[in-house]
Amino acid sequence: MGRSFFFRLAISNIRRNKRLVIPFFIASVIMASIYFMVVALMYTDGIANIPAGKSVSDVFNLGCIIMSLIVAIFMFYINSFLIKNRKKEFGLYGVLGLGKHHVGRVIFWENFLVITGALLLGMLAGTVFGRLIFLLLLFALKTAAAGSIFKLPAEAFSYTSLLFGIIFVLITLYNQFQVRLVNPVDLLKAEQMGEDKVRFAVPATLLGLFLLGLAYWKALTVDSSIAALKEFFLAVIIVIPATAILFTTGSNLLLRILKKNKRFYYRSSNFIAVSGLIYRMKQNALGLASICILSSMVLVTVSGTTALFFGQEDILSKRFPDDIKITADTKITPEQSHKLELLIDTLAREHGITVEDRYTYNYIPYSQDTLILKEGKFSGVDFKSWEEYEEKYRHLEKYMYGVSYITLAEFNRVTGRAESLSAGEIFLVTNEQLKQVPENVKAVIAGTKFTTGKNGTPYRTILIVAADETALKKLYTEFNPTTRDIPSAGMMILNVRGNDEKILVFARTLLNRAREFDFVISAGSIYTDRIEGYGIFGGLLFLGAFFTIIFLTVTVLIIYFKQISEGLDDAGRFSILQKVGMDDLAVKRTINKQIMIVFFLPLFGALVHILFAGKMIVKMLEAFSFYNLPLTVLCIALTVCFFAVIYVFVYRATAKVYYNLVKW
Amino acid sequence: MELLQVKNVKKVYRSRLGGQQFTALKKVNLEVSAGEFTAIMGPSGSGKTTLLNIIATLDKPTAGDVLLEGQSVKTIKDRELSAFRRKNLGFVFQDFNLLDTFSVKDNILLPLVLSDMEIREMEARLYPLAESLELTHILNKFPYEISGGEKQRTAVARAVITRPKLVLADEPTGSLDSKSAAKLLDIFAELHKNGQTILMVTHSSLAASRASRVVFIRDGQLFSQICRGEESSSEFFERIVSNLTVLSDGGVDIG
Ligand SMILES: Nc1ncnc2c1ncn2[C@@H]1O[C@H](COP(=O)(O)OP(=O)(O)OP(=O)(O)O)[C@@H](O)[C@H]1O
Ligand SMILES: [Mg+2]
Repeated sequence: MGRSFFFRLAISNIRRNKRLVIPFFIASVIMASIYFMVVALMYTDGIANIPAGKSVSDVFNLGCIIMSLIVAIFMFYINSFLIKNRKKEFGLYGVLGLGKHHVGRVIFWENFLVITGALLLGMLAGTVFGRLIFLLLLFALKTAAAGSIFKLPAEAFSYTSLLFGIIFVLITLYNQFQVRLVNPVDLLKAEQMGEDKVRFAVPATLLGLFLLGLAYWKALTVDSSIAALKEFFLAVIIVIPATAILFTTGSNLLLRILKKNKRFYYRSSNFIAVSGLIYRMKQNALGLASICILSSMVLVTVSGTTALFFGQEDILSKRFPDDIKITADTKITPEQSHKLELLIDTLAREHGITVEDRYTYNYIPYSQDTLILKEGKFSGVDFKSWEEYEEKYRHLEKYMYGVSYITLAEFNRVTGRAESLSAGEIFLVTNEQLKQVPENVKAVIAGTKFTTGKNGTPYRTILIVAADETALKKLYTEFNPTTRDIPSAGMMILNVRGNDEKILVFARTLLNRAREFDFVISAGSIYTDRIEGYGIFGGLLFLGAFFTIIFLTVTVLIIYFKQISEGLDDAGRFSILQKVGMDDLAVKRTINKQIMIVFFLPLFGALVHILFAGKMIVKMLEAFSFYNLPLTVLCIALTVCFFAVIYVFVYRATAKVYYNLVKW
Repeated sequence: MELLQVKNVKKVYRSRLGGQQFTALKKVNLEVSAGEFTAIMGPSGSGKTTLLNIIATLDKPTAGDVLLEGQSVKTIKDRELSAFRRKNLGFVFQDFNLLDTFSVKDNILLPLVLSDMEIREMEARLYPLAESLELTHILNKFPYEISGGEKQRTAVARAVITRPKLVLADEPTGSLDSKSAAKLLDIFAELHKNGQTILMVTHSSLAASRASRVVFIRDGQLFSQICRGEESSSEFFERIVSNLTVLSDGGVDIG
């Protein structure tokens, strides 16, 4: 038997199994093209040239590593579903007298044809859509970037080919192994379809419930962004086995309890549904659990990245209430301030920018000082270790404010007011709604330049105004008894107007030049950070979208393969039920009901997961200084709705295939 | 009045594309009275299964009518057919047709559950029946765990638990070894003795010799029939075999 024989057999196999192979092929093409595009976006010169190029390709670099793993795992996974559906066929070969190594060679050629085809088509699709995605990306990054054109890097071709080469080897080896394991007689025999007793059902289900409860409890009680980041991963690790256990053992136990209840079980409306579900769940539980987990991951990733992307301005306005700020770690003397002003004026003239507002002030900075304001009293936060913080202060976080201090003279000068304070009295300058303030507070002042900037309000800050320098220092030492040196700082605030692109260049230059002064410790602007931010979050959003497409492809495929293998079984059951005297409509209704339950169970599970993960998502986003709760909730809700709609759509499409098999 | 009347039944199969026509039953008349055990024999392709399916209301005749206790099945609405089948008919097939997701017990109870009977009454019917069919010890097993003979006895139990007017069996011994087949036929004979009306298609003269009447069918037409009268099973067997020889004189081979 020559090579061409196996080659031809492989081709005719593919043709005969097209109902299985074509979906697998399409999924492979989608994965290859997405992987190709990610690599292309990572290496293309076009990205390197745009202003936020560095952060974008950093994001894609990370995404690329994860993507390689996920694509490999998923290809492997859907292949195993495909092979499961074809085991009978392989058994038949054995009976017909084809040796196992012969079958192995057929499999080699089949995989070779499918994977090579998918790789080539995927790279072609990637080349075509890559340009489109590139333009979309530029749009999302808010850069016109006139000069950047999309050139396909060689890496895109070599990396994608390498990855799919590895996948080909893995899949072929796995399939060969499956064929070797196969005993033809076993395969031709009908599958054992009754109900094997699931062992340790009760303890296992309890364990699953306990783990799920633990993860949910952790997610609900998380109360700081750092804790959320730390514990999210842990929660995910716990939720995965919990979901798997509950889908397998838990569902079986529940159904068997229902079955034990004779009055419930022996009703025409429940009888067929319950035993059918026991069988279906046993066949599908793991697949369903993995769909549930994948769906949850999609929902978390997409809602998180969209929230960050669309909440970008929110984050920026909290960080930069005003356009540009230049800070010094000492007081800024009038001389130094003059030097800066000179620089600004020169650059502004050069770039055609109008300076709208500019002021300098000296203060004791809050970056080192968080105070707790609870029941009308300020108190400091003092801890030596992280554990100590967790224990003593974690629960007080909702009372914490970033506090800085300024003298009355500076305050009046910057705001142009003429307030006065007697000894021991203070003003609190903040836009926060304070419930109870200390007795020595003369007034809470909102809406000054300090807290209401051009772009927004800083997050949870209070500026304490005291009569003079001595009073200021006294207050500071009172709240920070352990501190020896009282820090002091100066700040120059700048708001500008002009053409966006020119402002960006102006800000870049100004920041670089300002940093050259030895008294300047940091300088930042909303314009430069915005570009960076869009680079990172826009990149993340695109990766999120890519991952979603991959997850959905896999989900669709698993569901589709399940529907096919079940459709064939159900066709037989359907005709028996008819003969025994169940009317067509009732048969359809009960089988429909079962399919719906099985199909929508993972979606339901994912929704519950997301519901409980909601708080954690909110807290994790706070780690990115994102505090816009309504927007987060909206993003989660929209993502969930969108996902559910796609899911229903997938159900409709695969159900059609199923009904064709059952021939209703 | 006869329990079952088949009047001038004709069945024409059209091939899917509509071109070819095939007449499986030409003009069949058959009457079965209550309490009779009738066997139908005939060469392969002669239309036995077709006839049985029409009587079973699983298929519709091209022309003619089937009456059960004087009621024409044509008058029954499609929606009510399954309930009619469940109430009046019991089926036993060559390939058992058990549901693999149900235990033996649940397979037997299936038609009763579909009629929404009380569980207490279901069990009251089940246990004596299981006892007489020697199924008690396997009630909780699944079809894949039991032998072919046990499967067929389960199917018989499912067919008679509704106390149907007529039990229809299509080659019930076809998949069984001779010992299991003999046991099944004993059961049929026992059912018959208790007044059950049975209509059985078979290729086996031995099986047919347990019936009270044998109807021969050939090329979609009734060919002849013989009644047992006072003969013993073995005498009747001889007569069936000689009749088959006449039947196969036309060069048709009998299984
Ligand atoms: N659905 C159908 N469409 C077309 N022709 C059919 C159909 N069902 C049966 N036939 C044809 O009708 C004839 C009678 O078939 P039937 O199944 O009744 O035979 P049978 O007597 O039961 O044979 P056997 O003893 O082999 O089971 C056969 O020639 C068969 O090919
Ligand atoms: Mg037949």
